[in-house]
Amino acid sequence: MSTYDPTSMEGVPVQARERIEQMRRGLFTSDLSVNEFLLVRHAGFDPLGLVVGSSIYHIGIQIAGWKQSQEMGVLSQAMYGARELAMTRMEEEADQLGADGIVGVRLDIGRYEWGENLAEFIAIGTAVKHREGVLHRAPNGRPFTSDLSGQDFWTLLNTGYRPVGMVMGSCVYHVAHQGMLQAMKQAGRNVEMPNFTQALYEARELAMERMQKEAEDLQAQGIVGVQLQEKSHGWGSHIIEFFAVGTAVIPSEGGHAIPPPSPVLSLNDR
Amino acid sequence: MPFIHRRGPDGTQQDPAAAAADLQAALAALERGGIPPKAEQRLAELRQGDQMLFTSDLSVNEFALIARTGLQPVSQVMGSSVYHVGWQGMPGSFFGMGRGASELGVLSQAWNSARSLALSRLQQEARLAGADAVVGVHIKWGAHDFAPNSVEMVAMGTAVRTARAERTDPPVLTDLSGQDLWKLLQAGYRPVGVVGATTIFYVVPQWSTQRLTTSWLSGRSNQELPDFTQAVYSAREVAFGHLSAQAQTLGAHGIVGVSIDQSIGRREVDTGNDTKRIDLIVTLHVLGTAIVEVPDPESIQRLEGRLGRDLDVHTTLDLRGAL
Repeated sequence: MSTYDPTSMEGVPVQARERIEQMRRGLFTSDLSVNEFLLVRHAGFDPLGLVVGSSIYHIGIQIAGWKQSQEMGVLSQAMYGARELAMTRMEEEADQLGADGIVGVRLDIGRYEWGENLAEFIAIGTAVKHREGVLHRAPNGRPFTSDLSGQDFWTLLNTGYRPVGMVMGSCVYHVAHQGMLQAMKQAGRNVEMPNFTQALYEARELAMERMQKEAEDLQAQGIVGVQLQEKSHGWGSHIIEFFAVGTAVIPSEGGHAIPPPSPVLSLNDR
Repeated sequence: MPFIHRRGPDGTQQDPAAAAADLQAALAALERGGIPPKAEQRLAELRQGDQMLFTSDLSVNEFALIARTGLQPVSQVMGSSVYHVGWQGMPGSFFGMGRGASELGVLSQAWNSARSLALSRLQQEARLAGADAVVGVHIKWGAHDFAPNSVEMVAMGTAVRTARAERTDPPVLTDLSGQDLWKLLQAGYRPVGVVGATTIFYVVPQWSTQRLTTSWLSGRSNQELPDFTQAVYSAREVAFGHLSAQAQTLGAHGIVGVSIDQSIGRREVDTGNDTKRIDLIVTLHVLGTAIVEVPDPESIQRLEGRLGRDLDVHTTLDLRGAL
């Protein structure tokens, strides 16, 4: 699978095909809460079904120089490629249902004992379709994706924006070990550690820059709800993945602003 | 690899000499307390993009309200500092001398320096992005396994700007969320900056307390441990003293939205002859936003267009649960 093909059912197991066939006949499944369901409906969308994309990926090996702060290109590529595969499969499932987009997308990584260098990348969300058939797809023809909850989705649409896609950037970075000489110079003193600061800074910048680039490619106007995660997926303490993910938004036609909010003093206990 | 619309690391090898030069430039910038050239580059790209793309870690609700205040998100900004903590002598280690509470000055100072470096880098990024303010500033701190004896402070937030042509310099930082900022502006106040402090106190117990905390006879009586109480008090007083001092330098009328993170650790000290002593380490991180009352509501109304001093508060009993 090298390109996005809306009709592709490649890699989708028989059971999943049956499930999709069932959902096409009108029954929907979703992981929306009741509130989310009502708000998505109120925003003019009907849920079509839960869509999933998954990819079990073998992550290669890369050796970093002991004293060198550097990006681990192979690992970055793996983390990126696998998420991309999972997302694409989820989008294709949604396309099968004739969806306009997917809300409440979660991106998870699972690791299993039976595979040391394996990781499962899972994308899961609820496919939705606009009731009046107003097109809400991303400019590249794919269904839009967003990790926004149903509530956030409603608010965003009412603010005059709509989601176009989840954007992400990943960077796996090796932080250099500190030399003996450097450690001696710092011994017992309160000083900033420029080497480490620089390494972490650069890694975060790379992740954020890639996310920004994705949003530009989607012709988005902005990104909301960015989360920056730092995780070391069992690579040892010096190798860290920085992962930035957010939802790219563009103004919708005939944009409108929310009515002036009035402050509310809630009498509910927390 | 399906990199049709997503761009990954391109896998091309950078020229090693250029990479080394980049690294040296970045290190030199950090030594000056500045930000690495790569970060400057990203922000410059963001400004020069033909279509004004913004990045933000605003939630959708915050985004909706920020738009109403007339502020426009520009970019997510960040500042970070990994700081080496110097050698700190522990009080009471010499035959229990120095009983009572005292500040571990070296540790406190390390945290405070790391914070101010991180916040100053955040501010520099915001300035480069052409922003007037940074909202939702939050600080994550922690230690990395790869760097022993060190702490890292990462400050993040979303840079915003007003519609005016001239920029506020330096940009104003606030740890308030978009919602809180909106309410504050409605009520006729505005933030002037973020204030934060860390204090770490160490308590070597007095004899009476030591007896109560370690002896087997201690279980009998109800009693306050005055030196422990005193230490927690002192730590708080010192931290808030720093906050007030910082707020006064900013010319603030008050501080709101203070988050307090307090943790108390125990340290057992062997005092020889099968006896031990339990010492306390009190750590306090505080962060808040200094605000001023806007003297002339007219001027701010002209500035933002939509602000008023009157705040209508409706009371509702929300029966629906959190929507």
